[in-house]
Amino acid sequence: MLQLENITKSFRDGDSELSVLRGVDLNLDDGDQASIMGSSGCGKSTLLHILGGIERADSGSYTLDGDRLTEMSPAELAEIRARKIGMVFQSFFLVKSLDCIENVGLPLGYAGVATKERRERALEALDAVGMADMAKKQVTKLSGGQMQRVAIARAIVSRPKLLICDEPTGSLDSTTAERIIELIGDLSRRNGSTLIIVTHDRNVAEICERRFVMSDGILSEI
Amino acid sequence: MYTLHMILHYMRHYRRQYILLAVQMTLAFAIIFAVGSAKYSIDYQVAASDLPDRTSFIVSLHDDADRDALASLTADFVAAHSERNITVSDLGSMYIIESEQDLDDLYDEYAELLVPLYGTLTLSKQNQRDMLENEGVGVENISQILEFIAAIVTFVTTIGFIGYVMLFLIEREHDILAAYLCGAGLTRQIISTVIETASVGLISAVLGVALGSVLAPMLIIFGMSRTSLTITPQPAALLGILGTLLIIYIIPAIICIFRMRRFDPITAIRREEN
Repeated sequence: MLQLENITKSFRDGDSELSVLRGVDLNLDDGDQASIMGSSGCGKSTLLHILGGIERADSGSYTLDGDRLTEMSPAELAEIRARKIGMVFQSFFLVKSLDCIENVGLPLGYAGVATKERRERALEALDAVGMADMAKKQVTKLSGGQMQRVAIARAIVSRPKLLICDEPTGSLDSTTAERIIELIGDLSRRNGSTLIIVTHDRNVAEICERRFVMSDGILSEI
Repeated sequence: MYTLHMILHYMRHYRRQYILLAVQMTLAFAIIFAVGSAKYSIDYQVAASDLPDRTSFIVSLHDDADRDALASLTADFVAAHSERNITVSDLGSMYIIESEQDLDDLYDEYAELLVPLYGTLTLSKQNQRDMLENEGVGVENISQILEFIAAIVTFVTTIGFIGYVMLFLIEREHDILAAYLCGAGLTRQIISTVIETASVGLISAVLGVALGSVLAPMLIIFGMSRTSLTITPQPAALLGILGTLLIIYIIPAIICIFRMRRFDPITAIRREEN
């Protein structure tokens, strides 16, 4: 379902070049749940951004569900993000001026789904994360845990092939974090999505059957 | 359709700022349209004037002028030259004697009649077209002042609009990023932003033309107290509106496009998460 082959990525740091990814390979099937751990600055987030179609690799190939993302235009990548990829971040990235149901419906709106279906599916997704009764509430009035639930609902609303989470519990207390991680794992299994979680927390990593470590720009399975 | 939905959402969300902007722009457009109408009205009327030339003697009266004596004298003068179809108008500070016929040969006679009674008087002779043009100049002078004001207003509104677009892009960076992560490409967001701000301008232009249509006829009061000129809303003044719309929009639109093209989602993500 997901295939990364020899992905490299470097960044300019003044006159020197910093190599963050040095030939990353990754193969995941439908429904696989994988965690990626590594020290701060090792390139986990960069890899995640490439997987999410928001950053381009310098070289290598990336295929997701038959689509070669490395060859796509920005408009095509935007379409893939709306239809096939769901992302959850530490900072939630919710639109503050929208209520919960409008936030969750964003990917469907950009994918061209009609208003009625969009609202129905958004409500379904909110229900799946236990937030259906807060559909019309402004996201600015929610707690951290609630906002992350809304962000998860938004990530799964388009029934994505790939669900990516970058430190999803980073802003949460331990009790809430545990609930959120269980929720993510449960939802991705239910939807049949392939799940990738980037984390520095071993407890979070352990919910996934496949575990990887990023070190010196190389990804290794443990 | 979803793009339109989000445009309407942001117009509702930022309605206070948009209303303030719209008020400024409506006033600017109203002045521009009224002034444009004045200019075109006057030009058309003077150029199209098919009034026969009229000769007028205009008497500027002194404060201590014996108006009754003047009226009596003038009545005798008119009667003596009844074949010239002379009409008399008393405008308070001015006394006007007119005819469609040439009165050049009567000028000295009338002046001689007045001198013994009033000491020094001012007599002037104008034909109708000259009078219309002078009236037009009176109104045009005021129009030039208003044009200057309109130019200042346009300049200030454009600067204000540029400032608003810049602030808007900074304030919405979070939303732009969220939308980007959900599948809204940057091009789509640029188009959406330009349409959103252009809508405010178009609404303001329509309201400005409506208000300007009401203001335009009032400009005549700045001209001479007696005038046969009228100012009516002129379609040609819409060219001024279009030109102003372009000026107000081109610079901010270019800034918006330029800044959004340089938007880097990765930098934005890192900034938010730090």
